[in-house]
Amino acid sequence: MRHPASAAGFPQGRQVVRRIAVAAVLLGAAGQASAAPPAPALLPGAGALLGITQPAEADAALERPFDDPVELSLDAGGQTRETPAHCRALLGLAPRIYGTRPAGDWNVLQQRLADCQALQWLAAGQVPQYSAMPPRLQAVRETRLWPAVIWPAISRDESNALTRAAQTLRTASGRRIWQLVTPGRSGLAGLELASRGYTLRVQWLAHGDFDGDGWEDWLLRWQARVEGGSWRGARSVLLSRKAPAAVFTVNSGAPSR
Amino acid sequence: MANFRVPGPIGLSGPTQDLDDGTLTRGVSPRPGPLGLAASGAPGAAATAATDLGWAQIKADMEAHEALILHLYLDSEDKVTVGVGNMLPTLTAAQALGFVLRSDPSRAATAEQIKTDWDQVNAEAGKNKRAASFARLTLLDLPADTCWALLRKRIDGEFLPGLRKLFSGWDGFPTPAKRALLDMAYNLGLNGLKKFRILIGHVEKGEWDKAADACSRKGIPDERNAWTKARFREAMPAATSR
Repeated sequence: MRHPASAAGFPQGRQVVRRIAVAAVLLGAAGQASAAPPAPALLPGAGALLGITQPAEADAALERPFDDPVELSLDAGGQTRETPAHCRALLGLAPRIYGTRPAGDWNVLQQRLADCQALQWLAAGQVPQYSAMPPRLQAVRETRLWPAVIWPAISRDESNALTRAAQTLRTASGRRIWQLVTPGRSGLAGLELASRGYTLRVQWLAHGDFDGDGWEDWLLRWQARVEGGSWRGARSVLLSRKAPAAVFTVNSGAPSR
Repeated sequence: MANFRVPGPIGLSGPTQDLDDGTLTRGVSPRPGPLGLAASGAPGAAATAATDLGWAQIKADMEAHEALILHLYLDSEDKVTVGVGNMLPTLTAAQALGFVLRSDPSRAATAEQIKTDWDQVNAEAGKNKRAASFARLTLLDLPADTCWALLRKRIDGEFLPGLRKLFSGWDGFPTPAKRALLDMAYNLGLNGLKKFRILIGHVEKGEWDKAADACSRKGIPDERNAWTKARFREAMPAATSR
């Protein structure tokens, strides 16, 4: 397995540091598969949720017509209306979305946007060159390994608190361990965290290099809700890291290519 | 309690509305208004109209931001729901409600017919469908009055008492501010609203302009955030509104 740190140049006179770093990388890599990271693949149950059977179908699925399109109001004031027919059109309009008609379709729209984003990432998927990801979902249950930004902070007060140094999901949620959720009707295994009035769930959809940086990512379905309220959240996020045992990074933006 | 009539909400014309039994939308006792606002609750006083939040207004706001769906549907978490976001945890809970045949609303649905709709709806799990699209899969409706009654039970029994407990000056708040806070409470849950500490500080002081700048929620439509902000601005005394 190639690893970029082993090829990177270190400053002269820091040979000891270099050897330690290389040894650490090799030790970490020993926990990974000895072969190169696997090609992008869907996890069991993910294909049914996204309407595909393999990642190679994702690009075509972006233009598959929606069964029941959602009408959007666009731009400030929401006077412009559009009803995108498929994911590619919806993703193109995403930055301009002001609301839905009717307003009650908002939660459906959020999940649809998340699924379309997942398809877009899958369509951009490549075979990773490196991996610092564990082999199983069970291995990522410690909340200290997750960044605080994964926490569904709805208020500015909460968001500001999460941006302070050394914040992790553990400090944000007050919980040490995610609960493992057994596959339900969707067939997808997941992790769930209920704390401080929120319930957060992530489900592992696929693995591969989806953001083009050469490293293995996990594509996750992210869903959140508040206890006792109608607020719901849905996103697709990429989970990754570049050193074994490091805190994961989370990417919830659009693919770079 | 006998019905009585009160003036409509600020800015709305038209007939006044009845307030019937059981509502908690009127204050139980008059309290002084926040910072320079007149006390509320005195019958016939001008301030009464400025602080009352009637059921008709609540209903209109809920209809605008949530949705009234008369048939069973799956929410975004695949939970069976009816009315204004009224989740039904079990088939038995659904069968306890007064569904009627859509084709003949004078006929009550049987438990078996409710089960049929329940199963039809559940068969769509994982498809993330719009609530309205379940109409073609179902044969039954819950009358609108029943749906609103379910909502009202929660508003009167949970949200308004919770808001009154959270804000000592609630009864004296201007109606638009009450509308904004009720919308936030329904959407975020009362515990979720409590996380808006900066907002709560401004609300307690009657600083509606600052409240308007601190009420933004993540993950909701810009439209709903703009509406909430506008309500807080509307709560400002006319001389200071911007």
